[in-house]
Amino acid sequence: MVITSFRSASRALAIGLLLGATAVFLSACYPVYDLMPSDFDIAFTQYSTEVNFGAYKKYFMPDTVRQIVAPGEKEDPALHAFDAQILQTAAANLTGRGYTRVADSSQANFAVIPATLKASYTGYYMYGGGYWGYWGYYPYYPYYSTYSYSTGSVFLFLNDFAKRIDNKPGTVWFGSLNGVMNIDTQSGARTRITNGINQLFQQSPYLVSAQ
Amino acid sequence: MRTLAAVLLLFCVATTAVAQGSFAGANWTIGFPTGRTNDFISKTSFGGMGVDIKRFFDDNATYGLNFGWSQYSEMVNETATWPSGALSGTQIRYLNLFPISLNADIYFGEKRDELKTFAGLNAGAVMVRMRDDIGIYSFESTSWHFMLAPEIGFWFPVERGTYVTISARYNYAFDNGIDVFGNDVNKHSWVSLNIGLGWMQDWF
Repeated sequence: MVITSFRSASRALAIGLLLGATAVFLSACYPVYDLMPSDFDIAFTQYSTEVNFGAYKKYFMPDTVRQIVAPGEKEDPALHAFDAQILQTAAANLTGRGYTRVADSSQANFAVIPATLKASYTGYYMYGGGYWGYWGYYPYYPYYSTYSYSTGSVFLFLNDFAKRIDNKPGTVWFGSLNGVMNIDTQSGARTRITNGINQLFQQSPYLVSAQ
Repeated sequence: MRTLAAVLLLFCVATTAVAQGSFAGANWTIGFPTGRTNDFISKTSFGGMGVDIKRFFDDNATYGLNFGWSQYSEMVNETATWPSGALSGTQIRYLNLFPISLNADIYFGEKRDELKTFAGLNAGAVMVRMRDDIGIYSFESTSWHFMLAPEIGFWFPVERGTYVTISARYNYAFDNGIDVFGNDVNKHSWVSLNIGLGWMQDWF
């Protein structure tokens, strides 16, 4: 390919550079979504397809929520502020689906075990290192910055007393909420927990008593 | 970033070198996802571009190359289900398509006609990059596909050697690899509307 005249070459070059700049511009045009704290929440459920959840009638649920911590670590007392709400919301959903809560586990078909977990993440990023100036490249010592965030999880384990695995009641349904903490008010977090637990049951239409 | 740099370089090379009987053009691409691509992202893309380099080997026929890049993005809130479970949450989905193809076109009418209509076929490959952000998690997949894309369009002259080009292309990427959800049926299709400028030296 050859350029056959100066006028066509300069016109072609100008158009080429304009379109090249457009390519760079469009590459930066990923849409920005204004995300709320609740947009980072996910609700996950998994269940055994061999179980007839309609055959269950009575369930046992403890009055406390277990907090999962690594060996040697202490529990976060702030997380227990949501215990009553977790128990209340789970009980309301189970009652609405025809299950009856009993205080004596020996009279129950299954147990619902709630638990919470807090995980913290820390990372760092680097920017800089140099820039192109009039006389060439100007290096400078890069800057480092750190970031950290915490996630909170709420778990519901549904264990069948009749199906035992390693001499313990087997889990036949599992629900998990996960969301980012420390970016919301406490009342906002309460709303998200309530909505999340409701969503766990909403996406489990098979979880209803036929008794 | 390297892919972008390659596209940028191709733009500059294609647009600065034009010989007699050769055509070079660049266009803005609007993309409309169809089929399984529409199942992933249904939103129209207004962020795409393409480069065409063609050469006449006959009064009414060209062969050439085509490069392109389109980006799609959509925020969805839906529940994904499978036989033993479900997952709900706000998802932000991204799709980047990088087609590279050989091209052959036939032009209708007389050589001296001002409005030049054409029909053609592009055949080549497309790199498909899918990404799904849900919660604090992100899932990605990259796959290469064989691609066919029939096309129709026209050129309209604005001054000697410079044309406005408009074309419509149906792009089909054959099944290959797995998609971002782990499905082994991974084929894509989209319709692109290409609006741009082209120039040619002393042919018509």
